[in-house]
Amino acid sequence: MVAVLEVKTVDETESRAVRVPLGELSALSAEELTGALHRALPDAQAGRVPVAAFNSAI
Amino acid sequence: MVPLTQLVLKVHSRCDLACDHCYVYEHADTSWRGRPRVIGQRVLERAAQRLGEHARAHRLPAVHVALHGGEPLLAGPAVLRRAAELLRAELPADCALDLRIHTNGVRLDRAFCELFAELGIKVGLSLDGDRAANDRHRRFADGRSSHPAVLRAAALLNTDEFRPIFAGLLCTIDVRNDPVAVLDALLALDPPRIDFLLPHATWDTPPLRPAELGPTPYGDWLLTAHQHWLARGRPVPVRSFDSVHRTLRGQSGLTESLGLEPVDLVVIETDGSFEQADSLKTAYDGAPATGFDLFTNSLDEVARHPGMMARQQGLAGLSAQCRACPVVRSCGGGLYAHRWRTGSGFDNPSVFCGDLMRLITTIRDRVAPAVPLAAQQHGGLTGAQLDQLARGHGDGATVRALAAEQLDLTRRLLAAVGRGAGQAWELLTELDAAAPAAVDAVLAHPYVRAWAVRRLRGGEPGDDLGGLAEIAAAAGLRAGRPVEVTVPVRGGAVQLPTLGRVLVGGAGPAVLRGGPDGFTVRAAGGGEQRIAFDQAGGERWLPVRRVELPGGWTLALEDTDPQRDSHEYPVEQRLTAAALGDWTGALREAWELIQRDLPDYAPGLAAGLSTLTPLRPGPGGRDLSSVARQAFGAVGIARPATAPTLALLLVHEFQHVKLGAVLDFRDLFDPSDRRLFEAPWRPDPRPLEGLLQGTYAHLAVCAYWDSRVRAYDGVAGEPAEQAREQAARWRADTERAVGTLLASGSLTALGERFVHGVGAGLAGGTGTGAESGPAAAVAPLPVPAAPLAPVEA
Repeated sequence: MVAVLEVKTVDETESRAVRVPLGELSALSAEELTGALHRALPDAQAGRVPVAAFNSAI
Repeated sequence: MVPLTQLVLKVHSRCDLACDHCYVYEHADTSWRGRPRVIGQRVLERAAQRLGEHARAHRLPAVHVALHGGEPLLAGPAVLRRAAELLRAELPADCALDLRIHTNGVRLDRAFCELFAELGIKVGLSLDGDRAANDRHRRFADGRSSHPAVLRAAALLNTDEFRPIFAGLLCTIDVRNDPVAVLDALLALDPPRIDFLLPHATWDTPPLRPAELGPTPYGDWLLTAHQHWLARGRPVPVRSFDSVHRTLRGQSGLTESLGLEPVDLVVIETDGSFEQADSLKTAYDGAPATGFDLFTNSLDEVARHPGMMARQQGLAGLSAQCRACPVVRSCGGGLYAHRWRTGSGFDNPSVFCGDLMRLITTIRDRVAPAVPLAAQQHGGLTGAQLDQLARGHGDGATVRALAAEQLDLTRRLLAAVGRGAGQAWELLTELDAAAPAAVDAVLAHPYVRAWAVRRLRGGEPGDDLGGLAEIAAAAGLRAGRPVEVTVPVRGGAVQLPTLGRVLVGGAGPAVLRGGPDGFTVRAAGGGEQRIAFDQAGGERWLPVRRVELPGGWTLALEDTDPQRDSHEYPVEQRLTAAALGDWTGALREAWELIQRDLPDYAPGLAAGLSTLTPLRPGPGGRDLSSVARQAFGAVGIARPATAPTLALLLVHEFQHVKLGAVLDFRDLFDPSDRRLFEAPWRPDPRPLEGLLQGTYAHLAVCAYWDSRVRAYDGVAGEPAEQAREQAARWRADTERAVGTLLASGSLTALGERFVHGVGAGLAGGTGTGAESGPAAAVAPLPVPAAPLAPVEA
């Protein structure tokens, strides 16, 4: 077999509306970029933060 | 049972202030009248022993104890010293003690501070803001202001000597106070932390709502303070604001009043009785009581008390209205006590529901990503497409919509980890504008996301994480550009994602030059290799090989990319020509079977499954297959003995791929629900997500066996009988699992819709669940005002 360059590309009509240029994305902070992706990322902080802190104390 | 890690120890049951908003003395519960004023020695000793045995039994790494009241300083230094020393003495050596005291501050003097510094006790102060705000409620019984005394206490805690034990300020909101003035007054004391508390109220005794302040005065008050806090550059953490920010990012909340995390807190009163969170004192007389005391009952027994369990059920423990609410993960139904209403008990939203909704949705919009996700835009998945997926399959357009969301996800991850990569990132962004299809062809490769996630997490020891240069180089070559990129040589090879692997030997950098017909690679100290795009693979050039199947499906057999180890089993090395032939033949046969017998599944598979990573055979010839959540579009499979089994593994695993992509942007269940559920196909109980994944995958398994039954229609014999048995077994198991999921109480409204769809798919119907009618089948899901909750209807 040979190297196949013509792999299926993302359909232009379906992706045009949602494609944000990498240059534009790189202007955002890492927190901004990943904050909205929390469902997709492994929770690195799981178990590290005490939760359910007593409401009537700080 | 959730082990208890937070203990509130009431060391004194009276107070030297007479705040008229105090939940202990001024609200429904009057149990304080019958309690000893000061905690006794026996109670202290037993409390320490109970906590010690609980920590040992559950191997707790840390426990948190708050010395509380009434006013705890009234207990005096001797009692406080004894409490701290007994607690430390009874805890195992490997369990940390986070010990705090919360005081009104009026008696806090140098002697107390020295004691607390010696014993490592952190001190929190109650203060409601500037003098006018504070004096609205926090006065002595004779009407004098407590404000000057609290300022003195704060000043003492801010000295170099005692600053390390200053925990922060707790401020109860009164909406008649100016939020900006209150926050400024608190910040002027330079506390290490602030928290705002809603005044305790219930549906029976609603909070003060002056008509001129509108329907959500508490939400508005907090938002004004939040805006001011942001404008001042978040000078100190504010627990309630940080908690909302965290829950909006899917992390745990920081306070029992916000978020769905199980409450693991118990109160010990001065007489040794166990009580639930003492905010319940606001609900009705005796509300916090458990009937347990530490002389008779262990903390394990307390943790199993129905009242405690009720506050540990996350989403499942909330009212129907809360469970259907899009911001429920952030508010968690609010503080348990605030849900009380005579008649319906705690089965209500918080009496502050409207305020919390306004607070959370507005903060969400303030901190929303500057660039909305693909999944939040009209190009994202529609309601009809989600229903289609729920029924088990999903046509080509649906799976391409999932793929578009995934590509957006990968591009964001790449921006997060790649922009420090200098030349490589510059090249990639340049190509992104000039040759977007070439860039996307590389970034859509399943293992680019896997690579980016590993980079984001810092990788694990021994990981071959590579760099961005290879990704940029592959994109440049795909674009046919005369690019020149320096790429690293690792393991004696240059890796070009989606293209292949060039063996150059050695280590260090190599220079790669692209052109319209091929490229060259020159490694340090080595000769130049020239590779033409139409050149067959050889000893030093190992191209990714793709199997072209009828109907337009091209599937890469990935045996070059180091990131293909993302699957849980060992991967095959470079396939020999014979093995490649076997795979090709098996895939052709399996695909023919899928197209013929599982026609609903075929288009989605062809649209979204781009990569098959061959795994090493399982022990004893056991079939092995696996997907990785971080590698959309890839499955790992050890080539099975027969093509029908390969077909089954393909459709089964691709179910996981699709559901993983759905879950990447949507909440179908409460992730804080830590219960385990029976999975009929496994000996061990599974968490909710595992059961959902298994159920969805078995929908395809059922479809497969149904197709086998149809193939053997009217035929006797062992294979036919086996097909009928398998079909009946998987259907019964999957139906049971659907029932378990629906009864869990932990599905979101969208999750219930999805699982109803799974049930409909299993029944072979075309319905999409109770909530979807014909209108829903054609209408897109509404684009949410809330960017972080993409398709929650």
